[in-house]
Amino acid sequence: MQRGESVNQEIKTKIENAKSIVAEVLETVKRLGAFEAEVVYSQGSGLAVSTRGGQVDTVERNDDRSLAVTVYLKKPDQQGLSKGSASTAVLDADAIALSVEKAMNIARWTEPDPHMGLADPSLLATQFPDLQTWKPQTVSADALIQRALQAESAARECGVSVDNSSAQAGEGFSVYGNSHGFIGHQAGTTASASVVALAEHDGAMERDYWWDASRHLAGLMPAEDMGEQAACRTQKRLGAKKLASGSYPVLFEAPVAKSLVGHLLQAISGSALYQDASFLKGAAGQAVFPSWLQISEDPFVPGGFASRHFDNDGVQTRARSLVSDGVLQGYLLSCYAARRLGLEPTGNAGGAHNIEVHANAGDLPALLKQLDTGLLVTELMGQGMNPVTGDYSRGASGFWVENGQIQYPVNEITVAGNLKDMYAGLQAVGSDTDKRSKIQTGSWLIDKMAVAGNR
Amino acid sequence: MMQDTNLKLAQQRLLEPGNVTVSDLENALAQALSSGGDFADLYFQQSRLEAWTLEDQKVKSGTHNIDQGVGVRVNSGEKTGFAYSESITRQGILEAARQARTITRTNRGQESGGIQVQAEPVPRMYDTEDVLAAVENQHIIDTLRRMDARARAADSRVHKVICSLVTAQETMLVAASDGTLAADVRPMVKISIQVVATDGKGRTETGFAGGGGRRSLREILDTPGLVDSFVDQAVKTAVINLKAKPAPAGSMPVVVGSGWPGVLLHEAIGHGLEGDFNRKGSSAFSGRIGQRVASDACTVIDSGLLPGRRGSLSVDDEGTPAAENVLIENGILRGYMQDKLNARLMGMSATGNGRRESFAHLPMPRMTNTYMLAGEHDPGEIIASVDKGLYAVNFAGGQVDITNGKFVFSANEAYLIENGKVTTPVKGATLIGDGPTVLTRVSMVGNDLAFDQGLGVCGKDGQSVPVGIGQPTLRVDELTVGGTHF
Repeated sequence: MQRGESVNQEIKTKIENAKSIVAEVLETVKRLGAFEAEVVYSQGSGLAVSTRGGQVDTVERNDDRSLAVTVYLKKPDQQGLSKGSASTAVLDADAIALSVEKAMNIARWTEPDPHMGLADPSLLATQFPDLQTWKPQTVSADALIQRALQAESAARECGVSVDNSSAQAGEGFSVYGNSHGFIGHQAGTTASASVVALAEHDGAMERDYWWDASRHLAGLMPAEDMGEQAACRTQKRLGAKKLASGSYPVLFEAPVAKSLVGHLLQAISGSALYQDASFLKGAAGQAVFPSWLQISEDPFVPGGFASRHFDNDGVQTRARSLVSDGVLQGYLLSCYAARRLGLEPTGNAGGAHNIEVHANAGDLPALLKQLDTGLLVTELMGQGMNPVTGDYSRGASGFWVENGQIQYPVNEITVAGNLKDMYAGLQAVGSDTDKRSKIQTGSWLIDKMAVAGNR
Repeated sequence: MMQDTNLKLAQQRLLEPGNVTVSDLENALAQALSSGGDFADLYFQQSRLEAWTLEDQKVKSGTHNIDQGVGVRVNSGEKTGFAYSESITRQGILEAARQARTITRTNRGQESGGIQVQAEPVPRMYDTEDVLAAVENQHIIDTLRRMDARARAADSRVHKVICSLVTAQETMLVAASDGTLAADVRPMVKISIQVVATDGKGRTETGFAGGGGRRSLREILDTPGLVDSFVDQAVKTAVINLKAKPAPAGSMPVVVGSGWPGVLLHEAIGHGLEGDFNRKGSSAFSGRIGQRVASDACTVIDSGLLPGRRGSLSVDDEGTPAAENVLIENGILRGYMQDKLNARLMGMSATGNGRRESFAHLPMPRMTNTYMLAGEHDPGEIIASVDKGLYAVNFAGGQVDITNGKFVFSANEAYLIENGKVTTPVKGATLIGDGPTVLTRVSMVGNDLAFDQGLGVCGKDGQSVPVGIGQPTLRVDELTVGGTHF
């Protein structure tokens, strides 16, 4: 058990079994004539409960496995390799054999691509420090139900009704092996909980929620605090007004500011770049943000949500600065994307690892003061972001702020602009970091956006 | 007895390989209810999918997926216990049933023997031909190449093209303690194209189009001009957007085009009329049956019975035959969409809207094909009625907060209307409105009802299901347009 997490015996056995299946499939496709091949086996299980009205609503068990095989053929007189892939959630010998046959057959039909193929062996992971993504936890339906009921009752005591209170815990692992002889695994445990509250005033209803996630149940925020937080957020939304259309500074609360980082990660991903579908094409080395902004990527954060030794190509991951003094330092590249773009792979096949946007300002009240008069956005709706142009237009709700003080809730409005301008116009990142996912950032204050309302 | 074919096929594919018989299902249902509970069902499913993608003028990737298993659900009052197994054997089913029934362990019921399930004849909505095997790989590859060539020939500004073709077949069988035994074999085809166009002066835009449905691939490929029309639409969107000006910001009259813009109905009122939200009282439409929620001109239907559409079903995922349900009739709210659980708890009937993403997910009330009936106005007359407003003809998608009723949908092809005429193309923008009131502001309904081409995917509680939408051209007197130009 060198290549991966320290885990318990039961899961070790499962991982070893998975590795032997992966090795077997790799041998089979080699024998069938594949030039190169890679196989992923993943398995996960968990228990999720929800409560409503002080009663159990649902208890769901999940248990999933899947095997994915990709083969590369070298055809006579042709440059490059041809790819075929198949996956199956049925893991009996027949289904695996059918998947192998399908992948091979597809590769016979696909056209070769000079950039296709496995990672260069020198790039494959050799370092496997303990990432502490596996936190042993005892999971029982009773304990989860207890937690959900506590959160629910805490919310109700604040005077709201509860639409749903949930808790879940699970564990899983994946094994990646390729025909260069690499085989490795990554394993992790998860836990999360949420409360969705409803409140009513003058016949108008509002809904809001709060949630948390961790590597284990004990790492979640206390159930009572979560219930109160959900209740409080919901009550604050009551009595919302629309807003006069205009150009205002906009403060994105940390949980929604994460989406602005998500758009950045999408725009600097290899596939968006080589498909000419990115508003940040060619932006590496350029000032995309103000000069005080730093964004770092660290795949080795202990217990991090996206901590990994190797990426989906088996390439060793690295910690790095993604944005330094406002300048974009590079892209998120798989081996294939890197070859197409004539760059080096960055260990990001499958996406970014733990991302941290470093704060340059204080907490939310301090940011409201800095905003002075403008809009605080706490929720965004819809998919109104054009990845090719960066044009941005989304539904929003939140609060109108004057003199640094929240005045009243607002909804049925939109916020619009272009992400390039929004990034360049970033005024502050708060210290109120949202730590519940792989993107960690505080709230974002943007100098000016177009807000559409009803006047 | 056309359903017999489906049942026979489903038994062959799902039950026979593991030597499972119908009486094993009856026994497992009795076991599932052995410690109490009002209802139990077993949902067996096998799905196979094949996808081919063209990029850089080459068909460079293809993939094949297999998924299979059985989900067991036990309901006791409002409680639901659920577990599933990928192993369709007597033992696998019983183990899942044992886990699902732990929900009922506190209220011990009686031994529930004697469950009998029986299939009822249901008209079949589609061919049982194996959609994955029906067309040669060479034909698929040629189709993708032809799409690419057509896009590039249509406009010299097109410089990237990605086309994909997906065929899928799902076989399901459901047995329930209420005596239901039903099966369905569902084909699905989806062909799509994305183009990137550039004007050579630094401006790049994209266009996306496609279609399909529960039809045979051969029929789609053989329909003259159909696949070509997807290509032309994608190129048109990209090229038009190259000259689009910033979209206006603020409230204004909006003319919503026919077809796919029906996403307006799906978001604004569709989700809010799903039974679960109304049972829980969390929808802006809760308790409003019989009330006016739209102008006289609006009649909205959800129907799983439209031939070939993405949301169409022979039976839903609980075995209830698909139906045509009137949601809004001449502006008055008539009914909700129900699955068995919510129908039972609300004292209503199941409406054929119980759907689930797969055997590993619980069923919920979901839309099938949601559309508004045609009205009397010529679309040109509707546009001519607007002095200053927006004409939105193509949309990317939408979202709704069912509790406060606020919904958004994002236009990706839109034009200004000035003095009754369609003028300048404008950039994509999100439109936001209020579900319970938006249809009261529909002052004109076109005579041009059209359906989407067959790409719709609806997400709810993390589950995706295919849906259809349809709509005639509508005039909404006031909607907020999220542009940047005041």
